[in-house]
Amino acid sequence: MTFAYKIPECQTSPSDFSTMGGLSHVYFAQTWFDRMIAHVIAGLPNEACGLFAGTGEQVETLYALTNADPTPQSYLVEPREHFQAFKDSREKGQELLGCFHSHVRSQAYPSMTDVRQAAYPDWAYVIVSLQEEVSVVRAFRIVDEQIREISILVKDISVEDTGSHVR
Amino acid sequence: MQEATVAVEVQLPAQLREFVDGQTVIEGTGVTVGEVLRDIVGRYPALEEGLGLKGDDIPKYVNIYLDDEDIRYLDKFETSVSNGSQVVIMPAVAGG
Repeated sequence: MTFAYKIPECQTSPSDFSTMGGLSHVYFAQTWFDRMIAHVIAGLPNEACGLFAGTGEQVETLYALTNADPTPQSYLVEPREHFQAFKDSREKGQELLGCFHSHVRSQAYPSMTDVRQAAYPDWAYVIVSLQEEVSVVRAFRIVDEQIREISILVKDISVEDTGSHVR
Repeated sequence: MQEATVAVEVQLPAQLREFVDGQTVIEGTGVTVGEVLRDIVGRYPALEEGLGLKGDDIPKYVNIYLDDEDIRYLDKFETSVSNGSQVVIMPAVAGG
């Protein structure tokens, strides 16, 4: 089942990353993107979360995980599932590229809590806003409490649909 | 019988490497995970704040694994280490 979503045009210039390094785009196969949207909708009324791994900027595995702090305003990737995803990605020759979570009642932009707790400067932080009927999805880097939006590209390519859940 | 102090490999996440001269893996010695971490913090004091280590509790937003097991579900900082053990430190993924 697929859900309607939109990805606003990224407002960040690639040159904004000249001093940050790391990801300036993130590519999803349509399959993974649809699964991410379905997972966060399934988590309502609370926020939902997960991780994704791959090589370069290409997402090759999506981990739809448990929110261990399930409220409409908070998420915490269940620590054991986080570690399992870390190990699984390494075994596949991939690395964790980022995380995703939903905003149930606010826009797709990092909250103060997101910024304060952003512990992975190299990651893409994907936020799915569910406050409107059509989900809005944006991605960011958060480095030293500085927020930079990065582009999301969704490709209609086939992927090996395995290992998307580790719980 | 007193347990022997051993050397243990500790893997650190990218954002903590600035506190340990850019190293990704660092060796610490001790009998327990807590001793190993105290050994490292003794050499790199800024790491204590970077990890949020205060007192005897594991910080809520830091996960510490010994040989693939979360030490919260073992004996926490009192978990014994052995030769060849590997400690992995991973900040939690959280927000709101």
